[in-house]
Amino acid sequence: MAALPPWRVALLEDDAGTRRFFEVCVSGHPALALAASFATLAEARRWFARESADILLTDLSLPDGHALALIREVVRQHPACDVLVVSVFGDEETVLACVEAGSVGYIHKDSSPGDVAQVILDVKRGASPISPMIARKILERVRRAVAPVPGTASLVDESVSLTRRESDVLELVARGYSYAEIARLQSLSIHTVQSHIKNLYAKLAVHSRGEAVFEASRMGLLDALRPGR
Amino acid sequence: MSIWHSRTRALLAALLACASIGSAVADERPAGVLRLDAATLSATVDDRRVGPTPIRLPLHWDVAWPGRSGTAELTLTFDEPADAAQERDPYALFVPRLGNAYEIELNDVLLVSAGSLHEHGDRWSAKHPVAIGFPARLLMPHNVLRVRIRADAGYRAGLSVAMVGPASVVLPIARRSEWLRVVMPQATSVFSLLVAGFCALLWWQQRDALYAWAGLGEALWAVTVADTVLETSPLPWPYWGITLLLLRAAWSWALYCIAQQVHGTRPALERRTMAAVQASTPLVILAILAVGSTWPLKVWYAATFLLWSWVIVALSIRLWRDPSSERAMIVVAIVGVYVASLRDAIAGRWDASLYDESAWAKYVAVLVGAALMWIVSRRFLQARAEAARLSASLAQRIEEKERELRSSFARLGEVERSRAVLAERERILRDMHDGVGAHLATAVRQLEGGRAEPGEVLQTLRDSMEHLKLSIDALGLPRGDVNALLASLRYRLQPRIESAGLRLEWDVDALPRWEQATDDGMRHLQYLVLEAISNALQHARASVLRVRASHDGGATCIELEDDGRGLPAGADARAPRSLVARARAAGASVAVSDARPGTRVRVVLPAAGDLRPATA
Repeated sequence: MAALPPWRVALLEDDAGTRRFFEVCVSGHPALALAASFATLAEARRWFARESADILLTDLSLPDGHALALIREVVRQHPACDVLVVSVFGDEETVLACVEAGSVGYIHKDSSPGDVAQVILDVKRGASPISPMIARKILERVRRAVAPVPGTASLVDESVSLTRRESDVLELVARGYSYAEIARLQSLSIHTVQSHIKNLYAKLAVHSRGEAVFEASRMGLLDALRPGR
Repeated sequence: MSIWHSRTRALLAALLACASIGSAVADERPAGVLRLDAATLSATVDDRRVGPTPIRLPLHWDVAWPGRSGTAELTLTFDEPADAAQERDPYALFVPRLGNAYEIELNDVLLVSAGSLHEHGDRWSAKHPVAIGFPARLLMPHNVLRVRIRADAGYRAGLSVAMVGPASVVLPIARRSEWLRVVMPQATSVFSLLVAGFCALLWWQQRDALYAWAGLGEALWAVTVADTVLETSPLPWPYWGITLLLLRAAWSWALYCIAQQVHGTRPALERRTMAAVQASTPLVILAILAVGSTWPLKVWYAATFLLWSWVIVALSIRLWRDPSSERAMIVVAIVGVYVASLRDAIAGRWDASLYDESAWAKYVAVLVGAALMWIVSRRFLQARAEAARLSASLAQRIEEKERELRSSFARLGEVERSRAVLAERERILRDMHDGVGAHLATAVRQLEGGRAEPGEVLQTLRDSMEHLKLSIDALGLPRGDVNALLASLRYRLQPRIESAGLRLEWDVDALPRWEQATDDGMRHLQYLVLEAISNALQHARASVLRVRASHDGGATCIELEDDGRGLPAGADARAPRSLVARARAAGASVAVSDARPGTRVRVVLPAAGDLRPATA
């Protein structure tokens, strides 16, 4: 592990105080390196045109617009770069919109510095942050796709389907169980549980856009994200 | 406009019909044709011998001897036409009308005979013109044409002016007469039958009295007209004549009823009089037979014509005041039939010179059929327009109703929304007051006093944040989903539980929907469990917190058990007041007991209709 170079983290946050907090969190961890830090979408776009990062940590509401479009661009142009969204509440609607744009999860704005670094490292190891509320929302959408309710439209393409295992894992997450507990209950490794969630997020992202070309590139990305990289 | 238009058209049609008849009966005497209008008559009238006496033709028996039957022999003499001797072509004799039975001899050679000369009331009725060709050599310098007839009373017996000439000249005249007297009446009869059938069909479908009377009238008329072309009547005379008279009376009544259907009901006196006159027809026939004279029939005819004159005047006045094309058509048709019938009655009964002319009524009565068809087509168009108008107005009314419904739904929706917003606002305000508001106030006091440690203020603010996140989760909680409620609590409290060094044992089954849940109830349950966990974190000095949720039947049981110091010694196993209040507000029950070691809080959410208290 020590031989590995640190993960390069790019940060996009307009509030100076919060940005400094996250900068400190990243810089303070030996396995992470702060590659760049921006306050606007335009700066981030310019930077990503030239450089790349392993993680983009981004706020959603920025002075020059909403970050969803940027998330899509970064995911498409830099398949190796995972996007984590900084959220105050981690509420399911916001998080799911970001997942569908291609982000792999979210990080709470009020997390402790140690937690921030831990979440980033977990993501690079193949985990995807999920809450029971998000799990429940995804289950709801998949079930609605099986038995569509007239007049309801979902952001997600209705053709998202879950494997039996994914669905079991989601059920347990929605019931409040932690990854470790789920791994025990399902006789799986914790890694496998995490990768189920990550795959699920990837499915949502692909089906939300339905672009074959993008799907192909995403498949490459999925390979790159296999646990044990 | 259309009234005058249609009236003009109808009158024009009537005039044309009259004119064509007029031209056909005009005196025709082409070159080379002899017109034989003088005869010597020897007759037997009711066993009384008459003549021989010279007469001018035509002979109209019913005018000469009204109400009498008999036989007659008429001798017509003529000299051989100048060029007949050289003629190789055949000659022809044309007699437009004669009857009832007859024999015609030329120079003692029998040319033609029809019916029985001695059998009175024979069914042979001789309705067709008679045209016979014969070889020119039959003619002599002085020729004798002998016509013997049998005459039945009231059956238009007699002999019209005869014609002798080359067949090539005479036969076309005969054919024209045949066409006018036979073919055209057949056509009008068929037309009347068609109208009758059509009206009967309409009546069958619509049960409109107009169509019933029209169908009946036209059917009667078709039979009456058919008689004028029948050489053999269906019944012997005078029964067939009686039948025809009855048919005519019935037709007259049907026409009157048609007029009433179109013009509105006539005054009672007029109706009764018309009914009485038409219904008296059998009596009239009996009277004729009883007195052996035709004057009862003449009286009947006079009464009928008088009555119809009155009806026509009344209908015309009504039409003038309230014009409509239907009424105009009917009035025109009735006037036409009236004039033609009057003329026929005179020609048939009073004036011998009109003997060989055809009855006009059978042509003019086509007007009635035409008027009926016109009315039917008008009504059809009106019905169609009415249907279109109705459907348009129906569509419009449906649209209006839909609009009303939409707006009323919109109003209801608005009311419902504002009510929901109000309820939501109340809930959020209460939440803020109890949660974030209270925490922030505490943080402000801590900072103002300057006595609080930074860690304390931090904890207060974290608690506040926690509350806020739980409030947000509560907004998205499906009503009755206790699993989601517990999961959200665990997720939000996980950092605090971990930082307190407590190990959480989570054992939550998939729970059924809590049917009695309300939004407020869910919020209270959330607070209740939050408070129970907070108590364990803050006061129990425990190392493990077990959370179990299970269900039994419909009831759901949530148990929180720590391994801390347990209830204070001597404390009764009563739950803290705030927990009880929350449970009551949520519609649940709560019990706190000593778990030795530690404390157990048991919350029971009753199944629908189940109000059992929780027991520890």
